[in-house]
Amino acid sequence: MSLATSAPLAIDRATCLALDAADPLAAYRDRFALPDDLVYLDGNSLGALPQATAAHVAHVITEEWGTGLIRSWNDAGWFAKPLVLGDRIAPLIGAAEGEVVLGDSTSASLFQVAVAAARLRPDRRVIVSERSNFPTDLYILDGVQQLLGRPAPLERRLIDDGGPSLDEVLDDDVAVVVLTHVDYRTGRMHDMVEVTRRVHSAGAIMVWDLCHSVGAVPVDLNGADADFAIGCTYKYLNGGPGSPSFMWVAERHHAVASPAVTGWHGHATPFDFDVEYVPADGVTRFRVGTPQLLSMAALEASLEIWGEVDLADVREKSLRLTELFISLVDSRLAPWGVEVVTPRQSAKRGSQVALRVDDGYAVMQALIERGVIGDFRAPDLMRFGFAPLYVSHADVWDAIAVLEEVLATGVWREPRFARRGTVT
Amino acid sequence: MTLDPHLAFARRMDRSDGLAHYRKRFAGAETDLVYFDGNSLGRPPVSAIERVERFLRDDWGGRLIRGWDEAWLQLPTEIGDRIGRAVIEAKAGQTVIGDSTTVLLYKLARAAVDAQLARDPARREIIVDTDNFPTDRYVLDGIAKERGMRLRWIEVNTTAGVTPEQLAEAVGPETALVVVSHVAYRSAYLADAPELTRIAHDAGALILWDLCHSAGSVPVKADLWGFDLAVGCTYKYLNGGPGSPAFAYVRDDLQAVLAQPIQGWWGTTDMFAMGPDYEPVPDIRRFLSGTAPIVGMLAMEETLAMIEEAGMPALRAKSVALTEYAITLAGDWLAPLGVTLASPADAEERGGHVTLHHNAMREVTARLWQRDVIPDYRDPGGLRIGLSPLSTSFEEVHRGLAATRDTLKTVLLERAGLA
Repeated sequence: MSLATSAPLAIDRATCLALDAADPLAAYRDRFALPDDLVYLDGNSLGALPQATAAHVAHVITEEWGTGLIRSWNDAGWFAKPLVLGDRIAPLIGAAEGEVVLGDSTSASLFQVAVAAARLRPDRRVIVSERSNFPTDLYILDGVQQLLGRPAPLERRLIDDGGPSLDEVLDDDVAVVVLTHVDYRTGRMHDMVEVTRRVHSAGAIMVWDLCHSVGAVPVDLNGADADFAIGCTYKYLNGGPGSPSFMWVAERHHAVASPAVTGWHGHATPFDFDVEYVPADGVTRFRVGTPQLLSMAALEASLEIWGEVDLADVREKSLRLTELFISLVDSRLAPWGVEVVTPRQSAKRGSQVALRVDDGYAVMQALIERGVIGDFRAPDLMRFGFAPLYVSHADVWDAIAVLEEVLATGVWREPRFARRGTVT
Repeated sequence: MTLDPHLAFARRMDRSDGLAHYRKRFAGAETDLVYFDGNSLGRPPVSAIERVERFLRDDWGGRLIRGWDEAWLQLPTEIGDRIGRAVIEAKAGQTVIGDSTTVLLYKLARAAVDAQLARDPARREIIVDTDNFPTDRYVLDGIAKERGMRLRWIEVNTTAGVTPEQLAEAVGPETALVVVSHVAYRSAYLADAPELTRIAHDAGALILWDLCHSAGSVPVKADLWGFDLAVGCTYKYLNGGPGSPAFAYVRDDLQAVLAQPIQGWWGTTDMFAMGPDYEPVPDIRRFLSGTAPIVGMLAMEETLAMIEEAGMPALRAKSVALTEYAITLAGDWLAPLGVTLASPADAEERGGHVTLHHNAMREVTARLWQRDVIPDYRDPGGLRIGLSPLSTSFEEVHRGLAATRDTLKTVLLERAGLA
């Protein structure tokens, strides 16, 4: 059934339930511990808890940590864990075995990778990114510009939808281009192959931020011939709050890449406790300090699920959900001036939809109070993420119904909905 | 048969030990396994298992994204303040937990040398000792290279550590930063932190203390001793679990003037304003970078509650008694086999572990592990015995050293072709 139609939408909740009944991924919802009374459309920010996570984390604490103690560094494979889990993420992003490793936070990993990327082009003085990029990316790059550009920082050039374009900023002084594949606010998706090709034509290094892509859309880093990537595991991969980020380094850079932080876990022989720093071969040299095994234990449980699913099914359902949502916004919410900011062309859309509406912050708080959880991104966007493993078509229907009620009644105008928490 | 007087002593000590009741609050302490590696990875607090499970089920599973605003966002500073108060005597607002020890070392060391170079371009030296923990040395080596600086090495004996005389000799008008471990990871040498800090300051240098092997075993008075910067580990004596996030201390008056290099959104004035330019918050949070690893932060709070209750002076007193006892046993049982003490003999110069030297110790360690006695081995020839004061009993020390004695005898007999 195609939903991308301009004809009046002949759809109701029963149709949504029928779509759910025919959904090949429907059974995965039971693999997650979601409260029954919630419509959770924020899995693009913090993914849901897999049912199996608590038992696995408890096993790691009681058996591996409690009984195995220090021996688990070898016996339970702790030391290798960042690489072993990296290999399990690899198929989700078109990476080869041995190219992916888990690190600290996404910010720390971007720093590690961006410095290495820029060092591959020491005679160039420009880093390109995007004005709408996730802020921490721009902040981190600012630090890289200061570190590598002494005495004057490297130049920053930001592309923007309103110009300049990528082609306008690319020249032979550009060292690195860092872009987020799927925009955190609007869900707009770059054409990874085409962008990477243009960046390489200018002789620059391409770094992709996959935070909002991994587990949401199929990614093929090697197919696109990209150079570096980083990504987040607590969104669509359901690793839990603050679970470790991953770094991908194309095999061709392994022998020469020089990351920023030279820690002992990136050393060729960490337990020889040598005086000299000798970087390990391969992506291992991007490791820094002791990995966070308990956070990794939670991620390990969710990666079991990701080992089973076909990303083509995930993408197909993701597009059905976002198209359904957009169609219903168009057909039911037009009277309140709700604007769909996310691209309507499916090839340009990740797995989230952003709506612009006056007083979106208060509207979102009213939604949350009614059990429909999305989030708000300054200055004016309500953001809804559709994690295909546990969001149903009926969820989409119900979310729209609640949103319509909130707008129609104007309940969001109550003062309590205007109060801001720290996290929006 | 009369009872071994050493065992009688151990039992007497355990009976009169005011901290003995904490032992049963650690998972596995009821078994016969001897754990001499709490200085590398502390045992799990029993209550941490329940705590993490509850967090997963109720907080992550039940509150989902709402959990950030309701509680988690403040955990790096809340837990940091608890460490500050109970473990390193730092007043609130100066301690935070976040990344791995190595990443925090990098951030603070870079912040320090960047500030020093901006103030005085002649300060191009970082002083570190040859036996500091490798990751400290590797990180500083990387920083020196990227900032065009020099490392100045203090050569130390692997059975001791950096003395005030050595540091006074090394510092000068070119010193930007001094990095010292409060307790040396090999020898357990306990550095004279207030004096070394004073020497660094007199030379116009900043000093960064690595508290990995002292936090939770030796009293630290960060404010009183005038620390500038410190980092420390939470998975050793604070039992935070494998790879639990490290803590950083930055003295309050330095916070506004130091800029750390991994500029992330968690360190900005309004992280959800999401503007394009980095505006660091003028307090300890600016030393944060990315999203805090919450699941790994929880277990340490269970230990912090115990330390808050018992107090560091009591922990130190028991730690000293445990290491003294281990050294006594080593003197009686192992010295006749050629074992020497590779840690300071004077308790005032020693942290919470003891290293015993013999060229057979690599083999001995491997065999001890086979019989559920778990010390670790550090070159050259060092059997390292970590005695975590909350979870170790005197009888456990007795059992472990008796096993060491028997194992070493067997190895030596085999070497002599007599076994």
